Order: sequence, then C-alpha cells, then structure tokens
Amino acid sequence: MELKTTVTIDAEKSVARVALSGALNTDTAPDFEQDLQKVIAGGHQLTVLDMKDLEYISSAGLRVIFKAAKQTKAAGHRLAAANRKPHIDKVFEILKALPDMAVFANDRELDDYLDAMQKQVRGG
Amino acid sequence: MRIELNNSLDEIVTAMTALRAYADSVAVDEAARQAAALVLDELLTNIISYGLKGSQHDPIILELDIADKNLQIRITDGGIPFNPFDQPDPNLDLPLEQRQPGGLGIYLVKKYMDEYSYRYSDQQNIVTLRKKLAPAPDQAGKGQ
Repeated sequence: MELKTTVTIDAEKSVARVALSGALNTDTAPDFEQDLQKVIAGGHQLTVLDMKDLEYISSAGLRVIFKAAKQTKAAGHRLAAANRKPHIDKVFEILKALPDMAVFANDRELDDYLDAMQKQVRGG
Repeated sequence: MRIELNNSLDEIVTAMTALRAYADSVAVDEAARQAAALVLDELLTNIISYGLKGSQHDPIILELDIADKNLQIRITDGGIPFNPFDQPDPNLDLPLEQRQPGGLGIYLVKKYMDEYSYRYSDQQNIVTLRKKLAPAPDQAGKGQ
C-alpha cells in the first residue's frame, strides 16, 4: 500500500497540517521522513499529523514521527497526532508515546486548541 | 500455507498479499489480521535489512497455519543467527526525547502476539508466533 501526504500551511496561525493516507511502513517511511522534515524546517508552532486516512503504521513510521516530535519539542514547538483510528491509537498507546505529543482525538479538539493558542498569542 | 520470499524488501508486499489471501480463506478476524500484518512487516524488515544483508541465501520461508484456535506464523531464514526476542525492551518510561531509537518493532511483535518463540536449528533461524483468534465471528477485533 502506498502513502499519500498532503501538506497545508496556515501561516497566520503558524500551523502545518500533514494529512496521511495509506500505509506508513518500511516501504513508505523514507519518503515521508523527507516530506515531514521539510515541513518541520518551516518552524511552525504546531505541526499536525492528520491520521484520518492512515490505515496502517509500523515501527519504521513511528521512528520518523518520534524523531520529528523530539525536534519540534527542542525548537519549542509541538507535533500532534489527530484523528487516529483505534488500531493506530493502540500502537501509540503501547509505546507510551501519547504524553509527549499534543494529541487530538478529532478536528473539534484541534480547533479548540488552536483557538486557545490564538488567544494566548493575542493576550501575551 | 507456505510461501518462499526472496531477500528483498519488495517481498514484504508479497507476504502481505499472501496473508490476506490466507486470512480470507480461513476466516481470520480483523484484530488477528492487523496484528499479523504488523509483525510480518517488522520481522521481515529485520531479516531482510540485517540478517541476510549482502549475501546469497536460501529463500525466507513463511508458513501460516491455524493451530488450536490460533493463527500461527512461522518464519524461517538462513541468515546470521539472531534471536529477536533476546534484545532488551525499549525503556518506554522515558520521555520521547530521551529514548534511544530501535527496539520498537520487536517490542510491538511481543505485545501483539500471544506467544512467540525462537530457535536455531540446521543453520536456520526459526521464529514461531501465535495470535489467538476471536471466538465468534461477530464484531471481532472490538475486544478489550
């Protein structure tokens, strides 16, 4: 199975959204890493991996995501995983990765977070 | 079902196709399918990327069976002797930024399978895995 990624940047909110569709595994992880690294180099406050259409993930894909999470954290930014299907969620849970990533169960939670972030920016 | 795989990462797709065909033929539930796909990906990647790297070997043998209401997966390869289950588990209590890379794949294999074993015999690595099948066909995979 292939992996398709679609990147959308909201410069005003400083949010990058990376939508993943297909399988993130040994086969697709190297290309995805290149794409994600480019996005992260943009220095956005928040990078959201939208997993709504992600069907499958293996450790090769998780390594890429964890590496990016480390990098964004070191830069004072966040990497988030949103819209995880139950079996994808289980993998993150087993690896105890969720506490270190801003996680959003759905788009609503993400929007709330973005609103709060905006208010913080305006307020401070 | 028994298939032979060449020493190439492309063959993981072949293994997945074989798994799907086998799972359809014997009505394997969704949870067991997903678990099997994950462990095949992880273990075959390891064998092809490290165990068999850079030399000629006999093909990897993949066997899928149903045994005692389990999906049984056996992978046999003639690469360097390597017991994947002998490696230390990653320390998952550390925050992500302090973790060492590696070890995640095998850890997932242990977590997703109900039984796993390794033996080295006749110059072959033999890994055997078992995943319990859901008892009834209704809503399989929604458990826990």
